Amino acid sequence: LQPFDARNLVPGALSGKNAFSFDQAALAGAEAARGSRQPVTSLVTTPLPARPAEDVALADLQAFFAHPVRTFLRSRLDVSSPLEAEETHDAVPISLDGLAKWDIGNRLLSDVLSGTDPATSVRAERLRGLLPPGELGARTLREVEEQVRPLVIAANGLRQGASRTLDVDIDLGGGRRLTGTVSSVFGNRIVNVAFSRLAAKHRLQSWVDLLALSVGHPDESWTAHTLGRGRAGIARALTGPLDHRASDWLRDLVDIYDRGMREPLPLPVKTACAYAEASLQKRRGAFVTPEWQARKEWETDRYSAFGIPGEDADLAHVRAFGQDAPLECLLAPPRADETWNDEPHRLGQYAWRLWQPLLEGVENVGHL
Amino acid sequence: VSDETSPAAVEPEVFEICDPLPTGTTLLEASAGTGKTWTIGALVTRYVAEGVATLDQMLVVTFGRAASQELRERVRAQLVAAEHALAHPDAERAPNDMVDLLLDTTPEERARRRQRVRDALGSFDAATIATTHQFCHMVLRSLGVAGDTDANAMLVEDLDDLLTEVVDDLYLRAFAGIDEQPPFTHKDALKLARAAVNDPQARLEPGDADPGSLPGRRLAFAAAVRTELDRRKRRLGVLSYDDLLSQLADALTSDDAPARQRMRQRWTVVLVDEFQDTDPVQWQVLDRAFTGHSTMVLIGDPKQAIYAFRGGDVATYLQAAATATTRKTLATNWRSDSALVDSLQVVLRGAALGDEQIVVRDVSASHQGSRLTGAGAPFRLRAVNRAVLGKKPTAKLGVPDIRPHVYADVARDIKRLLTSDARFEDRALQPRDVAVIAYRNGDLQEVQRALAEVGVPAVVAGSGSVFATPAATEWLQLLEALEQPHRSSRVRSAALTSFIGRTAAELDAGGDAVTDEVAELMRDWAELLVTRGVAAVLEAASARGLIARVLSRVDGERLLTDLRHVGQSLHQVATEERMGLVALLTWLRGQMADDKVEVASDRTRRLDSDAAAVQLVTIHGSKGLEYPVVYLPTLWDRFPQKPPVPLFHSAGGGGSAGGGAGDGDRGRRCIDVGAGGPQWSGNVARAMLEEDGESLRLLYVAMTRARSQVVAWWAPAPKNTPCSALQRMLFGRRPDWPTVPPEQPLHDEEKVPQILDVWQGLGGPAWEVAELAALPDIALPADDRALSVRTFSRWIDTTWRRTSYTALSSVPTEPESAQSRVASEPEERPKEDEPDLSTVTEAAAPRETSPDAIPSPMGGLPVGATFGSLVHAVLEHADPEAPDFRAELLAHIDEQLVGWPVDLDPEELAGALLQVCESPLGPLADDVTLRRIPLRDRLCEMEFELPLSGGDVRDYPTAPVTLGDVAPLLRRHLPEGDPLLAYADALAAPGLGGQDLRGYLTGSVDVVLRVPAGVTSRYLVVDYKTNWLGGFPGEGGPPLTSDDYRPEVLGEAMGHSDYPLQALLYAVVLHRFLRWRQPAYDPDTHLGGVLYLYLRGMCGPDTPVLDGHPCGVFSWQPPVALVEALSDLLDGVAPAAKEGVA
Repeated sequence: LQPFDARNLVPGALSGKNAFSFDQAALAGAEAARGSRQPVTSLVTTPLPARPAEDVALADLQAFFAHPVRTFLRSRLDVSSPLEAEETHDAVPISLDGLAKWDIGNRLLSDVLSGTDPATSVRAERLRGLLPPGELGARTLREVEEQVRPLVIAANGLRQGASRTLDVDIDLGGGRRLTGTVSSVFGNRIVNVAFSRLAAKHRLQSWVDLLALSVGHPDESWTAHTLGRGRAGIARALTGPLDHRASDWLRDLVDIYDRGMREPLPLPVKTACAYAEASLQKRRGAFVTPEWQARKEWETDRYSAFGIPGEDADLAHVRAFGQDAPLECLLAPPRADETWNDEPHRLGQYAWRLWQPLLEGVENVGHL
Repeated sequence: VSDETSPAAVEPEVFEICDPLPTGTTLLEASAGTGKTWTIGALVTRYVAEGVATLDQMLVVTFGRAASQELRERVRAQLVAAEHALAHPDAERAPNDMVDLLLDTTPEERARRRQRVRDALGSFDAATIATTHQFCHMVLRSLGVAGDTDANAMLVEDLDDLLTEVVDDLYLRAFAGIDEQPPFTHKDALKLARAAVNDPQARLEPGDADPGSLPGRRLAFAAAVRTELDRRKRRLGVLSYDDLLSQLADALTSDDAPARQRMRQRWTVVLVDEFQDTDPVQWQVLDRAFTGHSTMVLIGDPKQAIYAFRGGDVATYLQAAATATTRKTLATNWRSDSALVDSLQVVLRGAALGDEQIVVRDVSASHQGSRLTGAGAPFRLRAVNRAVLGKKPTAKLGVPDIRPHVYADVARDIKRLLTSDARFEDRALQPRDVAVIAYRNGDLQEVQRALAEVGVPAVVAGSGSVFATPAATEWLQLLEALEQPHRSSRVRSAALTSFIGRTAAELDAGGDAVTDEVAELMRDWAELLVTRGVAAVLEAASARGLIARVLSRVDGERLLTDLRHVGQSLHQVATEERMGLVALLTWLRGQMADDKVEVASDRTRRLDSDAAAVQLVTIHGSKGLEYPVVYLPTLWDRFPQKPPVPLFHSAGGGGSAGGGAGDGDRGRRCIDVGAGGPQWSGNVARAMLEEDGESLRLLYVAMTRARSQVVAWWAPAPKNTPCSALQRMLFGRRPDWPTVPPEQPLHDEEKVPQILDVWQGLGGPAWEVAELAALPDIALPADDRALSVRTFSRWIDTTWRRTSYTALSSVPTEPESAQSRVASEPEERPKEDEPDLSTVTEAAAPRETSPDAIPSPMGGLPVGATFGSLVHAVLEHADPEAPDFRAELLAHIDEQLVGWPVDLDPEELAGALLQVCESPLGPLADDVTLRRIPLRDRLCEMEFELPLSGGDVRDYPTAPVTLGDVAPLLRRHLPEGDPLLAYADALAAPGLGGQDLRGYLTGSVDVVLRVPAGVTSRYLVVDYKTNWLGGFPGEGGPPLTSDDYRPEVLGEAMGHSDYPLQALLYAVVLHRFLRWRQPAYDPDTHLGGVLYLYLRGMCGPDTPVLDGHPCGVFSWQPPVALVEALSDLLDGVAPAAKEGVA
């Protein structure tokens, strides 16, 4: 019997003439349970008050578009996600999971791109103690090397000339400024390389960099190259050069950022990208349902035991929207000040606003 | 099955409880609801009552701990009922054939039967009613060297960590050094190793694979893992539950194994419940031990054999069935209404469920008609078609189209039923009367959502790990904040949890003020957690409104239950493993990362409410349960998947599996770890065929849970329906056909109604199209009884206590910290009632040594409480009549030194004690010595438990008495000059004298001696003291002599200690004991007084005697009036005239 069960609290139900329980908290609970129940809603139902307009750091903008909800939780509410379990590995590694392999590849890539001799980096990996013993480890390392090598070759083709780091200081109007630093610039190319599949996150990173340079240093013609692994070989997103619209686009991003600092936006990175890409196809006449594409990225398949978790399982999203939140929590009708285009719901409005310039011609994604 | 008549062809006889008692090996084939457990209880009662076997000669085995517990209670209940009926044959009682049979005899025999049942009840704990594993464990331990088991081995439930190590090591050994791609990955290696180890009785296949091929290498790896794991288990001294069985089976191998003899001698009647879930080794154990020697009754229902994945092996059941000397069936269904049984039988009758020997037989129902009214036909079938899904007749259907419709339909149908005027057993039908049973938990959760949408409460039993729920995350956030309350992000995260209940808006508006406030709370709770545990934190949160806050949410019961569950798990592990906050956090994170699915464990989520709610259960979980109305939404939904490691039974006569195996090897449980090779596809097919059979048995179990009504769904999903049990039963066979095809393709949509009409015409399911019912717009009746709680306005009486002389005399100087945790009972501690060194004589003026002083024989022996305990123990056990008393003493010293280790020379101690026992005991004992008082005249370590002021008798007439009230009694009764009179002044101290005498007084008297006194005897209370009364012991001090223990020194020592209190209390104890046990008790005659034996002063027969008192012995004879007055005082009688307690 639960302490808050009515039988504990109804006089005479269990013993004597009085209620059985002495538990005031249980009584309060049982009465609350009888009252009208509050539906479990999102963390923030109405936007928090706007903060006074301050200068924006480019790094903050980057962090925001990498994960809008997490950045909201961290910088506005100062709330952290629970730490993941960190298991202490006390056994000899036998086989490496995807994440461990990614770590190795990522280290190799950044070492080599920053000028370390490839043979030295590989040797360092061997000595690090994270690889399985003997041939098992050697084989794993060879596999990873195979994946890193073409990325390095492709990147070196683009990284011609001296590496530059540029400061930007942009007047956003109304006394606000956007300041920050863009690195990984070679000639007038921004070159970002990731040891991952080329994903929305990487494309947005280059996009923000490119907008900042194009607006901050308008006298040069900037392009951004984002390299990642593709389905067949190396995938590249080539963005730019941009025309005079860059300034408006940048202000749009800052506006989204400002809104995203008041509430968790219905703009999960992968889901929004999938939605916007499908929406583009639909606009061009293809028979696709953008919501369906978005759902594939958002929802974890509950019927599959080995399902790859969707964005709904992201801890920050769980915190903001609830456990196993359906896609519908992103599909609320747009508010009065959120109609920038013809999309029918908030996800569509934000996704299309963010991705439209990229998808409609400024960005070109393909294999090298 | 060529060499024997098909058992299915012969309808076995029906077993009645009044039949002659079974002998030999009897197999009783039950059916759902036919009362397996009742039959076992009745048989046990008959065996006992009729004198065939006593209860301790019977072995009752079942599977699973919960089941054995229930069986134990049921057996006992039947014995009690039988005893009652035999005692009162004419009393009214429920009709019971078994009891009638027992009563139907002569009055003399009836009396004998009653006595036998009474004896059985009296020794009920001697009955072996156990799980197979418990019983094996017990036998193995009793075997000693007759078995081959490490008696110290520890039983371990989960060996997965060890297995992982083995797999890692073997994998490395095999593949780290070779230059080729490993033939299978490490992950696969772990998978196949788990399959091989978790099913240790299955033979590994393909046995004849080429060792160089992939199947051969996988096989070799699996075999190597089994061997290596066994080796490591031996080395670590651990046993798995499976090992218990296999080791016992090994011990029983040979025909003349002593283990066989032992088991047969011990148990003459063996009853086995749930026998269909047996496995090959369990049966081997029973068969080897009992077949042909003891009576064995095996009760099982092969139609409900659904635990193949856990090792249950219906093939073993069938093999065992073939060896039974008698086969009978239980044929009366006590669970279901006849209307329901008849309707279900139309569909089920005659069908062979996975084996031609497992046939649904006819049963008769005990309940005629139907107990459920106003709910439609007893067996309803709702069929989905394209029209109700809003699809065109030609549209393709998929499972995602159908499932949501069925969930919604289930919810609406249940809501309709619950808001209708359906009645069960003449009362309104309630949510808890309805169960939804499905194969998978996922389906149940969807049904729960659908039910919640229409406002019907539902609970899912045992679904997944509690550590995978939001509640675990909330605890994690709370603990993280408790760990580091200085980190604002952690504190603010915790503030959002239900424990604190802040909203994001408050957090944002409040800023640092909120952070500081919550951080302060976190610091308090962290302190609370350290001092009083997690449970206190949970209570603190409850006091701050946690329960009301959570329960005001829609899914509040669920969240609150999980929060409490996680909290209790945390508290348990913190207490048991002595974890601090940091370790606790690590543990919780580990539990949350661990996604192991266990069938039933502490991790399984608990029921969130036992209030009126629809029950949602899996088919496996529903076994053995019953509900008035059962909904079966997913019987049409089954998609068989190829198993990664197929489990199957070998075919007969050297078939493809296990080449070279003989005929005797038929039906051997096998697993194929090869993942390839010529036999792979055949073995996969065989495994899938066996699963097809099991799915039919799952259908049988699901359908037979209902007491009055079954509502099932059927839907035409192109991929999932054809292999489903319902489709195959309804569309794949005609009524009464035994054969059920493994797959039945879908019929055209227009033919479906025709076929269903045929079944309905025969009395089978009443079917209808599953159109969503219009929802009645009424809520379920709500409980609106007024709620209240009592207020705790009573006092907890903290002065009522169980005390002892030691506790009374050692008044605590400061109260114990109120925050201290509940302490456990102290272990046995050394004697506490004697100070190591008495300071009494130190203050005394130096005195002259008298000429006749003799050195103390114990002057060279150490001091200390442990030494005292050692001497007490030796004196307690040594037999003074032993021919060689010195050797006797030495033997006991050696023995007791283990428990009370003291660095001394045993010879020296023995010599000293010899002297002690030869010393005269003074005038009260007529100077007899301890040597002269044999053990039969001693009552050693007499324990007592004396009620003070009535103990715990309520309303016992008492006056408030305190220890201080003893003082006036002493003054009144003791003559001037009595050495104990001074103690009256000591009692004036309020700490000592103010103690209430209420509760119990407990303790133990060192020894009570009986010494002859004329024609009768006198009794003396004796307390041994090893106190050192001389100067400081050790090098250089004056030697200890009898002089240090002169009578006046002893009197002085007594007067300045609390020993008078002890002497008084023990005198009362003796008085009360004698008053009760001594015929013609007269305190003046029998009450001998109190002796304090200061052993160090007892120097043998020549101990100096001063004024009639030998040194070392303090004799005190309390006046009888004082003893009686004190006895009354302890009983709560106030002294008639109170003198002021000075």
